[in-house]
Amino acid sequence: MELKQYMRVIRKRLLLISSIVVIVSALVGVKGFMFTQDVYQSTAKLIVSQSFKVNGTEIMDWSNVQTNLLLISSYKEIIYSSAILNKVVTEFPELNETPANIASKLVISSANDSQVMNISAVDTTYKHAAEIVNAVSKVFKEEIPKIMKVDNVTILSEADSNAIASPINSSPIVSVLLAFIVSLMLAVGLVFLLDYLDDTIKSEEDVNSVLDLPMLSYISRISRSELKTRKSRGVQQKAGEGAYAAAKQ
Amino acid sequence: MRQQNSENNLVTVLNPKSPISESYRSLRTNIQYASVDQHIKVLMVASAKSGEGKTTTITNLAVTYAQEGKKVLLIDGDLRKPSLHHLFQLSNRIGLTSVLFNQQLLPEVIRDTTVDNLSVMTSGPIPPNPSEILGSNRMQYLLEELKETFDVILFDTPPVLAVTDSLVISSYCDGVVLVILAGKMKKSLVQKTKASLEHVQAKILGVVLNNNTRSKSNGHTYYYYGSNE
Repeated sequence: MELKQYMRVIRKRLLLISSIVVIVSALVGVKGFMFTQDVYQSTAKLIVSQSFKVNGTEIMDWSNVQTNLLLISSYKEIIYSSAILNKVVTEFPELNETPANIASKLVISSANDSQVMNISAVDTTYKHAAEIVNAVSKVFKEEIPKIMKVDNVTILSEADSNAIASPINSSPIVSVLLAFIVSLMLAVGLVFLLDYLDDTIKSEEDVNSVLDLPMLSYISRISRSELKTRKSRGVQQKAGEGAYAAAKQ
Repeated sequence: MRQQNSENNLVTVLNPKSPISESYRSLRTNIQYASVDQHIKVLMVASAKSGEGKTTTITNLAVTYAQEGKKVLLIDGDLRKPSLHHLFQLSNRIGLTSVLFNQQLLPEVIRDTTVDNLSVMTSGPIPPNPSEILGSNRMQYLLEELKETFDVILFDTPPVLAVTDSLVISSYCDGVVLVILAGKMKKSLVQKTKASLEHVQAKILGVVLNNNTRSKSNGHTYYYYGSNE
């Protein structure tokens, strides 16, 4: 297929392409501007670190670090457990949340080979997200020595509930732009698929390849304007007469 | 008897200088050159299915032959769903079947039109067995008689894949023009149509691609040059 043929296919189905693009972009735009709430994320950082003293000096060896790293995986699960979340709900009733709600809003992560844990909460207001994160961090720090019999969690940084934050979900304009690009690509792809699946005779090449017969003529679609009788200087011509029919009169 | 107010949608009559009329003249010329060794006197159009533009093609082609000064007879060979009488606003009480059943004399069923040199023979009353009637000896004699009077005889026919009538008529013709509706007709159906016509030794002259979307620079614009519009 040459570039001209590609362009012909696109031109032929331009209405379909533009319809798909406009509809998809409009739907994404409507959803983005009218039905999507801004979502904020707040994060607190905790470090899992345990050392032991030798002659009054705190020493941390490689095996200790490895133990701490392994503990992080367990701690992630413990945070989601009812032992922690029920305590958060009872100790911080002002949050007005259930354990299940808090669990759904929490995101706990840690970088590979890092002893730092990130506890994040997602909410429609940044202040509330920060309050949830700080509450969970405090309860977790308090409860972990009781659960694991080891006091190795330190809060590195709390979430600042007064900070001015930006929403984490993309802006509707970006969403519409992405929808436009993706729908355009899909629409063009669909058009080429339809053209590939089209098993009809469309051109002289098709006639030659399929039938091996000569083309006698191409007849275009007859428009209404072509069915209007042509007049020359107000005098109607007879069928088959030339342009000078009126001059003879 | 001349009919008035007819040919109400024949582009070659209403707008003989249009690019489409030129396409029909080009078709006429190409048919003449398609068979240099044999003079084409009896011609028919064929298509796989209905609605591909057979009637429009054959009627406008008939007009272009008539405009060239040839004595033309256009016969409605579609004895199942005839349409020429509608197009030329004629009565279909008498026609081809009337002559084949010896109910009318030949001159009575040949009707003149507003186009000079163009006569029309409508289908006449629809019979119960069109294929048998079209394949009868009477039909052969009738055609021989008509060949003496007219320079060109053109047949409008039913779709090839629907009924055998077209294949029967094709055996009387010097040439068959295959009409294809561009972008609508499947390749397999057109191949089947060609195979059916070849099976009865019909001489297919070539293809007319109908409803072809015209490009902006269609090469016919010169035709309007200098005309008073």
